[in-house]
Amino acid sequence: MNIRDLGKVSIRWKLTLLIVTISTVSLLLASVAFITSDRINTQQTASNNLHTMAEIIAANSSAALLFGDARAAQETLGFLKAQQHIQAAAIYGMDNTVFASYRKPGIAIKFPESGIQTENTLFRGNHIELSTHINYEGEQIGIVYLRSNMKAIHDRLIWFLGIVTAVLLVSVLVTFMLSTRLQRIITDPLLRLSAIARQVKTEKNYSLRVLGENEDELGNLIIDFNTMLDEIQSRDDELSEHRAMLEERVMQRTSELEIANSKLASSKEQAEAVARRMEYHAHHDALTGLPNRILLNDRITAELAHARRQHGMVALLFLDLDRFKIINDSLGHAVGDQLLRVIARRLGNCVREEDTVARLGGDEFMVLLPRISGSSDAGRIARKVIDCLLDPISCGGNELHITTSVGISIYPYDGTDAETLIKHADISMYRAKELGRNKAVYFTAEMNAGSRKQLALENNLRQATAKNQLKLVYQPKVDIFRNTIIGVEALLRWEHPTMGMISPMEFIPVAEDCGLIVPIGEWVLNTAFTQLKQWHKAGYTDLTMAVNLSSAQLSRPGLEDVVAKALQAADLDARMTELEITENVAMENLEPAIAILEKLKNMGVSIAMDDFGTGYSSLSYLRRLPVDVVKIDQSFVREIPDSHEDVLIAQAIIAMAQSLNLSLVVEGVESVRQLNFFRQQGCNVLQGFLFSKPVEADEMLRMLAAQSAPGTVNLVK
Amino acid sequence: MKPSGRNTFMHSLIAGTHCMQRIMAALLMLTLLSTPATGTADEAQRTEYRIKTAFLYNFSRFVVWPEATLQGRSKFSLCTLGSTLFGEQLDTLTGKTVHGKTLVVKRFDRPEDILDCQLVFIGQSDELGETIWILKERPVLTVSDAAAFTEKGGMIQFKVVDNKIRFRINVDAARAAGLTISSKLLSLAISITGAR
Repeated sequence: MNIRDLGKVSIRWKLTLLIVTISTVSLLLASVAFITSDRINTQQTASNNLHTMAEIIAANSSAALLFGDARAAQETLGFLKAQQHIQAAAIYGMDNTVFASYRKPGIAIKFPESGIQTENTLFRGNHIELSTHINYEGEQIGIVYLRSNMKAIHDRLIWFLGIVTAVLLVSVLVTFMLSTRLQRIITDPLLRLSAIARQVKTEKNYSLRVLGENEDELGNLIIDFNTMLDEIQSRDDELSEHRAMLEERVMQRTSELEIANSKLASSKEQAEAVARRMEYHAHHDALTGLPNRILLNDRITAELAHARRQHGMVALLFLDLDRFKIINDSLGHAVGDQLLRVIARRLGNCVREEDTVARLGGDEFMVLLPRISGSSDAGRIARKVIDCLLDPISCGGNELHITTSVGISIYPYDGTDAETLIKHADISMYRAKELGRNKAVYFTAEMNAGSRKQLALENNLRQATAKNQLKLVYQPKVDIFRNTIIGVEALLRWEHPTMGMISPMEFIPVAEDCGLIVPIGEWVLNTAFTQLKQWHKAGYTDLTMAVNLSSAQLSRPGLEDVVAKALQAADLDARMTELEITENVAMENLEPAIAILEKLKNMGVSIAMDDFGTGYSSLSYLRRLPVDVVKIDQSFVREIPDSHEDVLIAQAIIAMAQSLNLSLVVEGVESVRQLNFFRQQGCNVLQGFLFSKPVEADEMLRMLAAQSAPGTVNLVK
Repeated sequence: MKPSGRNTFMHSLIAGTHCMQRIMAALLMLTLLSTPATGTADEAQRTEYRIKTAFLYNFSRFVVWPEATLQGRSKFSLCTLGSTLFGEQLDTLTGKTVHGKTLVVKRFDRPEDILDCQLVFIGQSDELGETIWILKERPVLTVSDAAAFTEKGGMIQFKVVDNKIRFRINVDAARAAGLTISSKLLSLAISITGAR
């Protein structure tokens, strides 16, 4: 059998073959050794026997030799007749002649004539020749020559060969029978192992185990195999567990996606929902939930129309909390906001059901009293409102005593349109404050003429422009993903020598009224652009500058020229500039606003929608306006992420901005939690106290320098 | 028993004699087997006695003397009594070793002289009977050509049979003299006198 063919034979047969071969070979070797040894022994024995015979002949023939008695010598050879194996014998004298001889009958042998002086024994194939000296008393007197056949030896050999062959055959048979049984000690566990391995392979069933009780290497192999299966099984289990978990997670994600999809799919629905929500926010104050100025205006207009038809009376109460700023500044925004909410609730409780309480912003509230029967009704309600707020309010661990000043204007006496009535209520509120606060004051005609505050402001403002009391401060806009300042918003400040800081909210309307807004606006644009140019020259060439536009600026023709001139003067790329408008500014005069904004945009200037979400945020309007950037108003940001509603609004605005492909800036970011929220929402440009309050140009330059120092500054405070 | 192997010194001493013996034996055999028919009577006679000389020597080797006889002796005396036909040939035996003794050849004429011999060839003598009587029961091996020697009390008698030299033995005589004759020698004798 070819060795290569052996590879195909089963291990059982291999082992059997191995055992049988080894036993046969060893038996053969043993037999050969035995036979060889026996042959040597037999030959030795034969040689010894022959030698003894020769000695006897020598001893017996010595005298015959000495006395030359050939007959007697012949007689000494006579006993050889009985020795079947002796073929011939001869006695030689010292002259090498045959003295006496014997031949077995029927055998023709020529006796050697010479060369047998030496004593030796020769095995010559089929016979043995032996020559030995015949000595007498130490003297050689002749030689005995004997020749024997090897028949006995050969017969013995054949006999042994027969026995060996028989033993060999029997042993091969016995070995074969034994080995076919004994090899199972080794092969059975292996075959079991093999069978189980194949079963595992085909069935992928890792819970199968091989049975085995041996403690030898095979037992260890089986134990190892089982251990391996244990591990595979546990891994398999783990894997399927993971797979199940993964599937579950995929299903979960799928359902989430489906939900998100259904949400998105009903984009119309969603858009409507957003619009509704925005509608609500457009008409309500985010902090207190009270109607805002817009809704109030609507209601006033409606009630005035009603009153006109019915010849009824309508009163407006303008409320301003006394010293609220002090509280706000000393106790913080949060306390101030909480206070405002409490006051809003109290106000709602102390007026009639048909009355409307609105928040105008800051600490200003307005109450619309429709269908009053006389002026005194208004005064009575005003008194009640003041009293309502007298009870101390516990807020943030403080007992706060709040007083309020109220101005009253009445249709049809103090005005016939909403604007006038509001203005007059405002003026009379100032009057109330002048009179010592915590009072309600009716509007009088004189008041209108001498709106002292406005006059004072107007006068001061003229001086301010001349005396360089106006200045710009800058608040950085930060890309939180790159952690860099990408732009600044220019904010106007009026620092009055005696009145202190005056808010743009206060003096801009005055400026608009008296026409000062035009030079102030130009000054702001020029100053901001020049400043930006300086920063560009300082190396911060990617920095952008955002400037706020007022409604008066937007409504006057030639704004684009002013902007272009300012850009030219500063030698600035229009693309580095951004003009911010408020929703309401755009909405007041939509068509001209669109035209001007289009022109500005064509110049390369970006247009940002400021305070987004607080005004008439109609999506349809928004789409018509050539807006590039939307700024989420800080009123939505303030309570994120605690207010679920604000979170939803912010997410809606973000989604909307994304769907309209608008950039997004988040204003008023004050906490890390807000930062994290907007980071999760994917908003990258943030602005607010968390990064920096508005700072002057020098400080701004320091900040820019600090952040450009490699990898050391975290913009988040 | 192989005396030569017993003592290497002795072996080398007698090596020369062995060599001579071998030549002698070879000659003897040659003569025996190819006796020339054309040879003169003298020659035949010489050959005969040369063989007999060897026989005499060989007889001495197959006979055992009493211990007392050889004890104290350094020589083994091979003697002739009266006239013999050996001539000078007998002297070739001189110096050989028999039973450990050096062989000496002595020739005597008077029977009384041979008492100290160990082997005596009795030649032509008128006093054969007297000689046998004198030597009776003495440890002396007697050999002779004389007819009926053994019957007369002699121990070994040469006799030519078929042109070959043979001998007869009187065992009783030898035994009476205290001599022991080897069975090998006996087996070669053509006749043996005396009880077996």
